[in-house]
Amino acid sequence: MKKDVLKRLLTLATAGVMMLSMAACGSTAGTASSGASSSGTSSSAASAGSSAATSSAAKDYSSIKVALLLPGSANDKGWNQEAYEGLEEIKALGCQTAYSESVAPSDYEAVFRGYADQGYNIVFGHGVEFGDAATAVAPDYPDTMFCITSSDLSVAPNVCSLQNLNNEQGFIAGVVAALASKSGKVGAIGGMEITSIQSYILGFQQGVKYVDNGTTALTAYTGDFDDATKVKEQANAFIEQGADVIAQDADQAGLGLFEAVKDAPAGVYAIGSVKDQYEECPGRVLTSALNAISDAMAVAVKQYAEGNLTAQCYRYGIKEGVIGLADYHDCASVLTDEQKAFVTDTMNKIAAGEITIQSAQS
Amino acid sequence: MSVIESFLSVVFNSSTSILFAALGILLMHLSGVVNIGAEGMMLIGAFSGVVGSHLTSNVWLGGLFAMAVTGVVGLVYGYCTITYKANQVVVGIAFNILAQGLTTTLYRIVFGMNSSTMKVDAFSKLGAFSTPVYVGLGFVIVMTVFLNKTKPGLKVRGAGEYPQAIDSMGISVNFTRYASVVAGSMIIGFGGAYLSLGQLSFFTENMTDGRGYIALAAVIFGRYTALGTWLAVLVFGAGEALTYRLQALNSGVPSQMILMIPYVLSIVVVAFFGQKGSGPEALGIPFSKDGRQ
Repeated sequence: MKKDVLKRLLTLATAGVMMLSMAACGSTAGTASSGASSSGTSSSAASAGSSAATSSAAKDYSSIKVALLLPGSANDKGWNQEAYEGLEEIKALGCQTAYSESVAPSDYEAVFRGYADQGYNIVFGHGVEFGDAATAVAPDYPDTMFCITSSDLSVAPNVCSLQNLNNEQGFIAGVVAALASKSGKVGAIGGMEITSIQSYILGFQQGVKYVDNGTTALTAYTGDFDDATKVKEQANAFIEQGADVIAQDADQAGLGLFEAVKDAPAGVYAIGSVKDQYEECPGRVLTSALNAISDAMAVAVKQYAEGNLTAQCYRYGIKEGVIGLADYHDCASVLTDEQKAFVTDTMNKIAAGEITIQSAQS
Repeated sequence: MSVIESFLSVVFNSSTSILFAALGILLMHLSGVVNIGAEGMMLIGAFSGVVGSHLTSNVWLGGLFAMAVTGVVGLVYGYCTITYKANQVVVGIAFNILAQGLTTTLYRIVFGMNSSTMKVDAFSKLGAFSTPVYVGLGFVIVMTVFLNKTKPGLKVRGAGEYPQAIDSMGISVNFTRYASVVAGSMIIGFGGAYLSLGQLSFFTENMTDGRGYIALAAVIFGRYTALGTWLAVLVFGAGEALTYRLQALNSGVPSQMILMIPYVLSIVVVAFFGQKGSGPEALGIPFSKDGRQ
């Protein structure tokens, strides 16, 4: 009898532990109330009945609830962390925010529904892979705006997308890589082969071709965004093939590239992705192809507050300042001043629309 | 470095973490305790290895710390499955989920959400291979001898095959299983630490990425022998190494086809060698003296 009770207690405890850890890894939801001091003045302005609320300066964001779904860890030094910081920016505006990280594909719809049921006004799905789930749940929640990043999706009335132009990001990485390569071979490693990553790889190949100095682009996918050792070994395989500049677009797994470059012979460089990843391997990170989607997210929330966020695809590239190039740091001498000017010139041409870059997305 | 030499170095370097995990699982399974939770134990090992290496600035102490922590985890696992006879599969899955949440949370508490990765000392290389690779190869031999030629090894296998016989000899089945579970967990933990300290020099959340399950499969392919397990692990490693080489050749073969290779290879291996892979007789069955559960 006593054993029976203990058995049951143990089962209960196991279940409790499972639920707790699910909560910890599945949805580290930090629902934050709005900043009281900043919203205090604007709400009093609104209660005074003045029409000043429509001016962008004194907007009351405290009634706007924004949620974010991440495919990976918010601590990945790249793609996911960038969006997490975007949410922090939105929180600083005064919005109520929450997020779920490492959301499994099978849970996309459930998590979307969870936030929409709680009355969230804008729910971001961070990555093209969230598109189908958002399209499926959107008709049930007409009051919620679903916003998918790095996608070209739009479904009236309430699914929009922020397409950070990965092809432009890949293109400038390719241009820099081809210019810096001495061996005539450069590499790019993507994570999962989804359209946004394909766009990056496609852009990289075109960037290398654009420089037109006989450099070949080697490309590969590792198939996931978690396993850093795969990216490391893939980079090693590229280095063995003679590649001396390697770029990555594989979120957390991409950190493996810097491990490979660290042990590689002198003259082999990495190009970081999304954020400035110089600190991952000082002296070996040529530069990083930036993808500041956080800014675009904040802009979208502001547009929502003004009633201007509609079901369409918003494109953000070099022209909008979302795609860019990080500092060269201590690798500044790898490229000559002439070559650096060529990079800047190319970016200006892309911004001006003088170069058309193919993409895997429309 | 020749092509073959470098290919082999990738095979051995990248399969060693799975090898340690598989040998730990083997020990536990032979004693009669199913361990689905190896994935979580590896993750805990990978995390605590980085913490240990960071605190002591010595990578071997980091590895030992990882073993100590997973040893304690193994003790808890044994407590659930041996003393309280909880369903071993359920406990294993619970451990996996717990480990993922726990390591993520602790990692952020200890190292914070910084803009750059926390790097620690890593295992040095001896020739083409990382030092633990040699330890792993030696360990295959040690395990083979231990399981087949020594008295304690025979006790372990007896506890998994026919516990009543062991019990009638006056040997405690549950103590034997406890010892196997704790020792096995420590070996698995070192496999995890090799991942973060041997192949990389940092921890990333959920970095084991299914290796615990591959190790589990390797034990079954290897027909519950240390040598067979090692060969199975090498087959997986070779499949993985092949994908990197083939993609680097820029052959124009679609990447999906290339990424499929390790899995196709696994299916082929199971089809040809997997039929007779029957586990210990009492695997997964908690032991009671009176025969009731």
